[in-house]
Amino acid sequence: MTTTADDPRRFLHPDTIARISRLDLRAKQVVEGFITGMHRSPFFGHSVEFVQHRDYTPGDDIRHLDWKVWSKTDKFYIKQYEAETNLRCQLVVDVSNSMHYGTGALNKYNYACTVGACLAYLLLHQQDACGLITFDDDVREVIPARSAHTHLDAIVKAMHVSTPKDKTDIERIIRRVAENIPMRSMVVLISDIFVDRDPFFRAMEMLRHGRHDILVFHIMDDDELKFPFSGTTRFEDLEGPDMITCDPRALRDGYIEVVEEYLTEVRRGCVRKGIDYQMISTTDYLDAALSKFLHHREAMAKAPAKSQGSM
Amino acid sequence: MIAGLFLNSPFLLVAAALISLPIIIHLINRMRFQRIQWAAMEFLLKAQKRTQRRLIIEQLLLLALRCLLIGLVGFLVLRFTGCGDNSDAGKPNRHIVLLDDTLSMRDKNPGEGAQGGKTCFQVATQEFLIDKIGKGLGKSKTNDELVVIQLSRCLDSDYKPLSFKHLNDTKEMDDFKRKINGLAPSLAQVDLIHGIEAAKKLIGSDNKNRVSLHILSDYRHVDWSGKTGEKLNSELVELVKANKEIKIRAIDTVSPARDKNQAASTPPARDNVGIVSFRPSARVVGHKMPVRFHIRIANYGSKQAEVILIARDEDKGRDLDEVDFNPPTRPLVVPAGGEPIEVTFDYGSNFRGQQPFFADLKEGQVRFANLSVRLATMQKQDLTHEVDGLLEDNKRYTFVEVREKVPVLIIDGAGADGRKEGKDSFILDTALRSVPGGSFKVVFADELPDCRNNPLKALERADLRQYASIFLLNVQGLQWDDKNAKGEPINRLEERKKNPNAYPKSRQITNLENYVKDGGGVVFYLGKDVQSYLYNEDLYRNGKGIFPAPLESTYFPSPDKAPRPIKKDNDTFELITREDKFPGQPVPIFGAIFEEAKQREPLANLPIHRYFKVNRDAWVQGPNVMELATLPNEAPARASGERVVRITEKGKNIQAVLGNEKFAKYKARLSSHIAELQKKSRDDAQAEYKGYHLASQIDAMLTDRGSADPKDNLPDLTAFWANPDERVQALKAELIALREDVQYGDPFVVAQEYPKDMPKGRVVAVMSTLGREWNDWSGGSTGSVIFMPFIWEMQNYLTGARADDSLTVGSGSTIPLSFDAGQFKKDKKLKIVRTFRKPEAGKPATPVVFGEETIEASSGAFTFTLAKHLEPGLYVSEIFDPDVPNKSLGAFGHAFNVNTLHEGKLQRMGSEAEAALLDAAKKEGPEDAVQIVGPNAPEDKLVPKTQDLSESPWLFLILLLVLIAEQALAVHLSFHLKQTEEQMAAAGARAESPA
Repeated sequence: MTTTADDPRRFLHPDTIARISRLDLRAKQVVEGFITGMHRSPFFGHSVEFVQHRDYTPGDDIRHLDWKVWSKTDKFYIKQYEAETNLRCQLVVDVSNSMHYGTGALNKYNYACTVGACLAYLLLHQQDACGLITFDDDVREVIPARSAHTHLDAIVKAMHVSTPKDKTDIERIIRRVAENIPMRSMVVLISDIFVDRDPFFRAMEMLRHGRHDILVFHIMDDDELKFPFSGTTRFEDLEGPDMITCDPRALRDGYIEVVEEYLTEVRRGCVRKGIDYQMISTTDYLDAALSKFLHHREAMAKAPAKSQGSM
Repeated sequence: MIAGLFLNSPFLLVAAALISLPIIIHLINRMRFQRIQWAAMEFLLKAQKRTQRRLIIEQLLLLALRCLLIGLVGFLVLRFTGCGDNSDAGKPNRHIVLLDDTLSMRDKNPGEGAQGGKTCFQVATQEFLIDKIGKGLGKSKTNDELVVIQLSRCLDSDYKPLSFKHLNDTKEMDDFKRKINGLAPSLAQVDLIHGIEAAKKLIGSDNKNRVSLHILSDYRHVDWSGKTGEKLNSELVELVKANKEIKIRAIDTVSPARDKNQAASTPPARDNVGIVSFRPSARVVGHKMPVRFHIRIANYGSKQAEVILIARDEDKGRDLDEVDFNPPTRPLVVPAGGEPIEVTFDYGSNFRGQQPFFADLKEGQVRFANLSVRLATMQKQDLTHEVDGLLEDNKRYTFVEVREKVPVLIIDGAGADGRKEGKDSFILDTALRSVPGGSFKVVFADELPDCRNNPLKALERADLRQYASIFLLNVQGLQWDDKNAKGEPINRLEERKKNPNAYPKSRQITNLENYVKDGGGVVFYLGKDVQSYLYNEDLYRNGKGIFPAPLESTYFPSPDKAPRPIKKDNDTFELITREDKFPGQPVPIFGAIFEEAKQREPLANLPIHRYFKVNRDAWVQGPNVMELATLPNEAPARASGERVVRITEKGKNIQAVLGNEKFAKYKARLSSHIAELQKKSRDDAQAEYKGYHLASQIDAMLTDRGSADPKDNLPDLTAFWANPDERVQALKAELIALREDVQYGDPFVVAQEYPKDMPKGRVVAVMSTLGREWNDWSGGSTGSVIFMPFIWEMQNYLTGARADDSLTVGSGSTIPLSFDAGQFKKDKKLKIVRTFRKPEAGKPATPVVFGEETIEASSGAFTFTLAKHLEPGLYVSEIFDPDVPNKSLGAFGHAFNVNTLHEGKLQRMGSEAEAALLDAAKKEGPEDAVQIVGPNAPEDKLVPKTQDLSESPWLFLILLLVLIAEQALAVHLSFHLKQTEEQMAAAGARAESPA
């Protein structure tokens, strides 16, 4: 299948999708959903599989009291179940000007959209609901989460029309995103995170406060990581008036050092806040990146105690 | 010193441009950037902020290294571009070659070797200058300079020595060879000291270069011995003292080379015979007057030379076969040793079938007879180098200024009265008119304009030079100016009181002195009107003036006493010519009259009644003052009585001689003479013996030939005096000394050459009157017969002064012209046309007009500088008034000849002079400061190879280290991609968009 720059389905490369479809996407935390399936709800409910008892505390819903235990022990215990439910995933894609930079076939914007489309397809294929929010200095497109297979077209179309522009204002955007996600969901942020770290982490904190499960795909161009330029070069800021004329080779070591500090700061901040973080270079294969991410999610899922304990 | 190189020179711009090349490249690169739209600007800004200082330092360091690299590379190539390193290690060499191109360098080396068959000059230029010094400099890697000073031209004010640089460049080397090969030895003589001084001036305080002075010369004994040698050595010592690094190489171009092991103290030199001088006895002669020409020939070789002389009239272009040389020259044997012999010949009248100089001379016309004389073989062929070192000194030129009448100025103190019969002017006029050929034109001063009442005014005229001679007869004294330059009256006595040595403020005296300085001849005859103090103060001036001797306050016998009595005995002449003062040569004036002793007989009767005595005590008698004739000593003989007794009786010598049996046969005759001598010297007032009587007696004793007849028992005392016995010779010396002291009285004829430092003119003073007032010389005595010849010969002597002013080829002279500027309007200019009578073989000399110049009057007179001439021969300068076309105002002739006296002496510098040369410099400089170099000296000895800094391995090491550092820093600063980065760069390039 041939993809062109104007084809909105270019983000669904068959090879990539085929590789990802063999993996199970499991949510780290159970979210409220309206489709029960292979996904385990992040919430304890009244459904299928018993998990544990706990002491009753006033205010608990008495419908969850285990009357059988009461009859035997004369104590009130609440029964807790692991409910399988539909995953609601909200893709938040950065379409600001900085995402326009990139080398090769895919710049960061294209890459981010591809990743988003793949995830949407995967989620929709598993009957999960998936929505999309694009942003630059403001929210540009909001596609509510739905599980219909046909919803993918809407998502892909929304990404396609969201041409990059302007600078990212992450805090304000995330606040808007939080407002637009009424239920506890998985939020997948796909961005280069060329924003101030403090507002970013505050925004992430805000999402975490909404008990959303957050995935961050940090998209970086290979040039931005390795800075391979030579010769006198004038670098002009894509999102501002700044410009530097320099010999890039002379600045390379310092640049890489600064970038590493930045990546470390972002990574550590995300880890500290329980956010799944994955830095992806635009030269990485899409399937490899997604597989790596999903494996990582799976590994996280196998350590529930730790996860539970953290909640 | 590098700074000195770059500052104030075009190299400043070039060097600045080169060194700033990296900066320029950097700036150009800054302008030619690529543009990238960049997202991660935040990190870039941070990185830049963080590394900015380090980057700047590293970039500056890299820039500095690159500039230094260019500087070092430039430094390496500077020496090829004419700007060598000036530090001590790489100091360029400055080779100054003093090239002796004087006449003696034409001497041809004998033999078959490298120098054989070549002249010294050819050896100097080809063997040394081109093949050794030039070749050595051609290999030099430093920026060396070669300066060649031609000795013959170093005195020219406009002379610039030849300078050569970059001889390591083929083109420059070719130019150098062409110019050096184009040089030729001159005929000039210039003292080497002038060349050394020129080199010294050139070297100055040069400490930028290592200086080598090569003196390419023939190192003749005449240059390097005596005071000349001492002066040369001291100049070289001064050079060494002023420049400690200087290397002086005395390069001897004469073959065979000096050999330290040779037995003789002087290396062998070539024989040379040459004509030392050739002059007429009178420079200015009348139309039909015969002129005697004097030739002096010297043989500076080691064996006698046999030559013949050939005289030639160059203007007529024919050899004068009709002249008779005296002594005859078929052949003329010139003895070795350098002592000149004199040969004379007469020419110029129709005497003995000769032709006059010019048959068609008109009144007032002046022409120059152009004569030469040359040495030849018996076959009338020119001498060759086989027998004669220098050929150029075998021919010599002279000239005679021929006029229809020769003007003579007579200033008679008696004025017009002097022309009355028997008076001074009358007698002199008669004598001059009676000269054979009758070519004198007598001018009486009182007949000149404005001089009627004061004949001495004639001396204030500026045209004195036209007169062949000036006679001052019984003149009271020369007059001072009435007013000084400011117009104030001059009081002579007051002036003298203020300063007894005040120079006379007199135009008359100054003019007369200038006239003599210019080669003129002046005769003073004294008389009763003469005021001796005026002569002493104005004209004698303690030996500095033109009058040759100081006078007593009044004449002798004084006016109140009777005149000198007539001498009645025949013991001596009344006038004694002073042959004793001119050993080996004729007494001036008298020598020409009395060729043989017996011709002096008339002097026995020459009554002199009055005369002025010379104040011998105050007489400063320099070498140029000559006492030609003296009156006999009339002091009483008894004044010498004691001395006679001491010599002839009590003296050890006389006693030893008389007591010696060997001389027994002479004893009686000797005793007889001694008795006579003692008798005349005895204190006997009645006897009236005078000093000359003693002299006569001593003379008789010394010349007594005795009698050939044994019966007379009169032995030949001349044989006795010729005996080499020490006592005999000592006694003879005592007697001769006594005779000298008692024989001569007061000087009567005194001559002086003037000025003393450079004699050109001649002055004769006769201490009595010219007419018969004080003596009977001009008539009334036997001695009168020599009066006319005396006047004629005196005239020849006076005009002959200018005959000696033959100029040396290669030297010039400033000539004052006797044209009174006052006779022309102010700012008058005169034109001089100069002609060279170029001698041609086998045909008349060709007049070559080679220049015209205009001269202006200065201080009331015209002077012009006679440029030096390089070819021997006659040069005529004719003066014209530009306002009156084709009217000649006068003409001057000058003969230029080679200086045989100096250049002809080819004897080489001996080992003593050699040692003096080397030792003198050693005292002030290093051991090898001065070295004598022979023909076989290696090239390295003349042009030592010097290692400059640019050849130093350290420089290359520094260059390498700087290069490595630059590369390392460049790599470090990523101007060169690492291998792993190349792929990244390729990827990065895809994101670049062109600026």
